[in-house]
Formats: sequence, C-alpha cells, structure tokens
Amino acid sequence: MKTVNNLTLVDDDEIFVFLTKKTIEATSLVNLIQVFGNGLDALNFLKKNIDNPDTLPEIIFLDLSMPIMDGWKFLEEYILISPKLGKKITIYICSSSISPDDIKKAKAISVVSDFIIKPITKEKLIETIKNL
Amino acid sequence: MKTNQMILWDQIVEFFSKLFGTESWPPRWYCGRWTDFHGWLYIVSDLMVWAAYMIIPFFLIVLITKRKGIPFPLVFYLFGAFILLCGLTHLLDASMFWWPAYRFAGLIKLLTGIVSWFTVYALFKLWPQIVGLKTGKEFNAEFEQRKIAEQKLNDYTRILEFKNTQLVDFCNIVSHNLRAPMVNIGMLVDYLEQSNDKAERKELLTKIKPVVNHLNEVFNELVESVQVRQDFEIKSDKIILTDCLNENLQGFQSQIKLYEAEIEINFNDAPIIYFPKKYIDSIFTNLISNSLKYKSPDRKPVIKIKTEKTSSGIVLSISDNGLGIDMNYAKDKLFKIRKTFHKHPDAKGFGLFMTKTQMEAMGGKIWAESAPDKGCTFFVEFINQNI
Repeated sequence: MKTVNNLTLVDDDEIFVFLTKKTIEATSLVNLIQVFGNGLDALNFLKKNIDNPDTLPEIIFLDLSMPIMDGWKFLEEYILISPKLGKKITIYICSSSISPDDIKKAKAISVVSDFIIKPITKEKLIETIKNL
Repeated sequence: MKTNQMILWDQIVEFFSKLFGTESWPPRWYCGRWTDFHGWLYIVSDLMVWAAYMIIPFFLIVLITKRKGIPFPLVFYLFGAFILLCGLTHLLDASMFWWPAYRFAGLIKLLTGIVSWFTVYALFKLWPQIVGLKTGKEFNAEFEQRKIAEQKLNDYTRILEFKNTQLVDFCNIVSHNLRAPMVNIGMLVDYLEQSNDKAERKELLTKIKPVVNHLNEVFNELVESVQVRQDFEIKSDKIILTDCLNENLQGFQSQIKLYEAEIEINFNDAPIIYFPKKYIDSIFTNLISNSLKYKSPDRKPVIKIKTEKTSSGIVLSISDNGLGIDMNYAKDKLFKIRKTFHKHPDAKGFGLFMTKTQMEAMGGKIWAESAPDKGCTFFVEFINQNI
C-alpha cells in the first residue's frame, strides 16, 4: 500500500483536528501529520518551503471557515504560487458545510480535487490516499 | 326661367359642359342693389372664413403626421377635407362679385355636402369609442396610480430579496455552524464506542463537554438572532446619547484605564435618537469593545464617537486607530456569524452579526471602512428620526 509522507490539516477546530489525527494515525498510511489553524499560517509555510519539495505535503485537507484567512482566500492565494511549488499537492476541501452553494463553488476551483463533507472516516481516508 | 323647361338629362349635360361658364348670370355686383359697404362686407368676410378654413386643416394634418398614436386619424382627415371644401365655397362666394361661376360653385357645394356627411357617418360609427376614450387627465391619474403600485411592488421585491438573503444566511449558519459541533460529537461518540482503553476513553469524555458547550452557544446565538428578527413589537425609546454612552462606558472603565485609551465624543449635530434602548446598548457595547479588543500594540487607543444628521436619518460613527481590517478580504464576511479576522482569544464573530441583525430589524443600516494598521470606522444609520 502506498504511503503518504506529509498530510497537512488546515483547520481551526481543535476537536476535529484531534479526532481526524487519530483516524489518520489508525490507517498507518501517513508518516507526518501537520496542522495549521488558519489559511494564512498554511500559506506562509508553503511559501517558505516553495523550493523544498521534501517538506511540502502531498495532501492538504482544507477547512473553509477559519479566522484570519478562510479556505476560499487560501485557494485564491495558492493558485498564484502553485506553479512555482516544487511538488504536486492534492487539495481536498474538508468542511462541515452541507450547503450546495459551497460544494458547487469548491468543485469549480481547478486545484481542488474533491469536497469532503466532515467527518472524514477511515474508509474515505484510505480511498483518498489510494487515489493519489 | 327657361331652364325649367329642359329635360333633366339635358340640364346635367349643360351643367358639366359649361361648368366654368359665367355667361348666364351677371356678376353679383350687378345683381340687385349692392352698396360698396355691403358688398365688401360680404367679400372680406368670405375671404376671412376661407383663409381660416385653409389653415385649420393644415394644423390637423401636421398634428396627425407629427404625433404618433393620435386616435381616429380618419376622422381628422375627414374634418380636414370638409373644412377645406367649406373654405372653398366661401372663396367662390366672394369671387361671384366678379366671376359668377354658379355651376362650379354648385359642384363644390355638393362635394362639401358629401364629405360633410361622410364625416357625420364616421363620427356616428366611431362615437362609442370616442366617448370611451380616456382624457389626458384620466391618463395621468391612471399613470399616477400605476406609479404608486409599481413603487409598492419594488418595495416588496426589495424586502423579499432581503428576507431571502437572511434565509440563505440562516441556512448557511445551520448547515455549517450548527453542523460542525454535531459532527464532532458524532465522531467522539464513535471513538468512545470503539475504544477499550480506559485512559483513551477518559480523554475522549473530557472533550465532549466543550463541544456540547460550543453547540449550546451557537444555538443560543441563533435563537437570539431569530428573536430579534421576530420582535416586531419592540418600541423605540428616546435616547439621550451622551447619557446612554456614559452608562455603557462604565463597563469598560478598567480597560480604558489600562490601555490609557482616549475617547472623543461629539453628539452636537444629533444629541438625541429614537431607537430601542436594548439595541443601542448592545451596539455601543459591541463596537466599543471591538475598538478596545483590536487595538494596535504600537498606539494608545483613540476612539472617536460622533453623530451626524443626513438626508435619511442620523449616522452614528465609531472610529478607532486600532489593528484595522483588510476590507478587500473582509467586506463580505465582516457581519457574518462566527467570522473573525484577528488572532484574539475573545474573537467570536458574534457581536457584529448581532449588531447588524438589530439594525436591520429596525430598518437601519451598518457598514464599515477600514485599512490594516490604520483603524476601523463603523457607521450605524438610524432612520425615521424626524419624530
């Protein structure tokens, strides 16, 4: 089974992050789980490591509603830096929103692979990593 | 006379073959006894009538060709024709004094008679429509009524659109803000069910309480906002702004002292407003607490609070020199529930949402101007202040 070196969670909900980390750990498919509490922190990390493919994540699970910089704004900024990134990063939006508007809007963004409605189950996680 | 003895056909043939002939009659000057005065009275009067009758049809024709949508143009043409012909009979009457062409004059009179009767016929046929035609006054009255109805319709549409936006916002709040803690509770319970490890179960249990508290909090906020929207009974109070503000500032005394904050107040332009006391308290508390909460670490806070009369009401503004917000990013989110823009432990994203809800419930408005690291100005507009 393929494993992931770095999976990044961008989410401000501590309980969700705690539980999702647990779920990810249970799959034993991920070496490092990185967490950012808002879009800006995650973006700054990507910018800083733009030339360090080894430290960049393979997958980002991105929440939409966050303080400072929300998921939408993060995606806007990410599109600008993505051509310069030394690595292909797969972005999944991971939101508790079940609003069809949000889902439609998210799927229209080219760099978004899919929209996962919370919670992330173990099965969904394994499938996601398989599809990388 | 001799003509009486001719048969009718010969009379008609003679009439048309000598249509312009004048040999059978003397000019009118010599027929009977005319004084100059009497003759010229006749002539000048006939010419006056003729000239006027030439001009009237001209106006009628220009009117129906220039102005589109004149009703019954045929009647106008018929009127034009018969007035023109009437005029011609008068011209011929005047000319009889020198040129007694009685046959030609007779023919023109016949034509005039025929056209006049066509006009009568047309009027008779069109009469019900002409009588039913709306006058300009009636049109204007109807137009006014329609304008009022349209205005009402526009108002309703605006209110509906506004209500719809509120509904969409509410749906988003339910589908996201209420769902998020429920997802967490669900996940926690799932883990609890699966776990056999005592320590892990204990850890999971301690995490349930804060999530339930959070759910409760969001739920209460929602209920509060719905109550504000449903509270049509709430009455405006007469608010003396200086007193009301001082009362609210009491709660911030220790913070103001601690930050050495300066508060400038100017209610000279509008010292009194009419608004529910409960809401104005909440507006002052929310906006002042924001100004203090998001102060710049480099400057002592300066908060300017003032009112200004406008054409539509009174605008209260509260401006600070604090952290400010990037409005390009925040403009759609600033007043939404659970949207925060600064890393602050007390930032919850409820105050501005509630303030906006209260303002809108009273038909007022709230908006903001801001630049990062320059400060923030919030404007609150109260309407219906001319009591």
